[in-house]
Amino acid sequence: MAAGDWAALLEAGEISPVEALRRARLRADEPPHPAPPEGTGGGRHGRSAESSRATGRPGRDPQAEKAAEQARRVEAVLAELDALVGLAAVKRMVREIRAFVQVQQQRAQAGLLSRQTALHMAFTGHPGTGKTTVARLLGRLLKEIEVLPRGHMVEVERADLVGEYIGHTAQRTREVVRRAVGGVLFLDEAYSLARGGEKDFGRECIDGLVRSMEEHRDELVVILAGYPREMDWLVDQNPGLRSRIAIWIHFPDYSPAELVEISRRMLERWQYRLAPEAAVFLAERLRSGEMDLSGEFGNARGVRNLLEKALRCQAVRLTDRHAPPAVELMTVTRSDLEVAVAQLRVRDNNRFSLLA
Amino acid sequence: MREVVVAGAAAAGKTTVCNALTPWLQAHRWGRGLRLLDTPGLDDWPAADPGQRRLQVQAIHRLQTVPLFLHVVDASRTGAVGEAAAVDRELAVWGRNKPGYAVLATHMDGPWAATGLRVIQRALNPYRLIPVVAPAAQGLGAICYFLRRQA
Repeated sequence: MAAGDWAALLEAGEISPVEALRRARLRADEPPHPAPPEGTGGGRHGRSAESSRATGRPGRDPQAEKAAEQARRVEAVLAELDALVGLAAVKRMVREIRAFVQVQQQRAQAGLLSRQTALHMAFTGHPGTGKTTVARLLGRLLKEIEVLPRGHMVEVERADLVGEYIGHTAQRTREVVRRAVGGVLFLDEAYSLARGGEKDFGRECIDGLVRSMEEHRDELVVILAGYPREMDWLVDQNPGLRSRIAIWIHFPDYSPAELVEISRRMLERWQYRLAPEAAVFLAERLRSGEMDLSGEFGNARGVRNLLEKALRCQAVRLTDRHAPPAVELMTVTRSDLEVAVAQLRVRDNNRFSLLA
Repeated sequence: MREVVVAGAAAAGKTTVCNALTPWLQAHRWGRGLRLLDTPGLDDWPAADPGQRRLQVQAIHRLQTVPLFLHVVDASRTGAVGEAAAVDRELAVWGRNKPGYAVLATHMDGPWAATGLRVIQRALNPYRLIPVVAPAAQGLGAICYFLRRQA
């Protein structure tokens, strides 16, 4: 970016003062003559590493370069994880897994015995606590540290696995596992597999899954997700499953302060902002416990639903205005939020326990 | 003449602090060598008025060059919202690179101000945090003491 670009953009009203401050600071932090990025081999200019050697630049160790590149990618995934609001215990657990795997790899390189642990996991927690997001990041992390070859995530639920007639379930389960090999198989609401009773095909699916977990232990990570109590019950139904799940991660409900932070980030991403009095209103509502967004019916997803509703209320408010300025198109007012809360209360009276 | 930038979010109380502080500085010889630069409010969104935006650009240029920086944060509003505004968090990062930086927590007589003070301390973690009620002249002595040590 050319020097002073932030000033032009700020003056044109295309970026906010906060963004201008950030850009100005980053510009000031840059070295005066930035070196070309390492590890690209000058690829931007179409030059190979060989031609750079020909120009007299010192040769670089390709292995060290590869390791540095890998470390950078791992750090990028961990930074994404750290950017998630809250989830301190989960983040610690993910770092533990990463450290353990890396040490085992180093032990193997040093000729020591390394423990080949399967990394199948169970994620317990209420909806909207970040289980899917973390699973996706974990898949990428395991790819970067070379545990999984592909690191993609296949997200399935009971309906994707359980068949309609005898033999159909095993076939569907095999197909799903085949798609997931090399990455993460994320099974949401896993306890529903064991719910149907003795004659339900769900049991057949669990057996098939346990077999696949063992067969593909080096190239597949199965993550079972669901409510804490139901997950306990699920593994009690099948002892083979309990012994194969090495890691249990609990996702706690978000605190009101974390929910406020989540709502702020969501709006920032959607290029909206809360008017100051709307921010006060939202924080008060979340903090006072009037709106039970934590627990079973809410968390981040509950906040998102509320904000989406508020955005629609804002749109309705602005419909009659002729060409409203950008600032108004961005601003969610207190009245929008009040209307959204009132409408959600009418619709989901059993979900949101609001004060009358 | 040394300059002191007074910056912060809109309606944080920058001008009130400047107006209240100026007579205090004028009363001392060291204070007469300081000039307070009041800046327009910096927000989390673009200002509608082009003139305001131009002033904001000038304010950021000033922030880049002037080593003394008083960061004004509305403690009452911060406490009510429960978190520091994005602009305040960004300005705190700027402040850490300045030799003379203090956060002035204003509107300490407003509701939620005590909570706001704790939020500011935790979120911005400044070297120097001064609670201020500018109309009642509370905290101005502490600001003068801070500025004198920098001057």
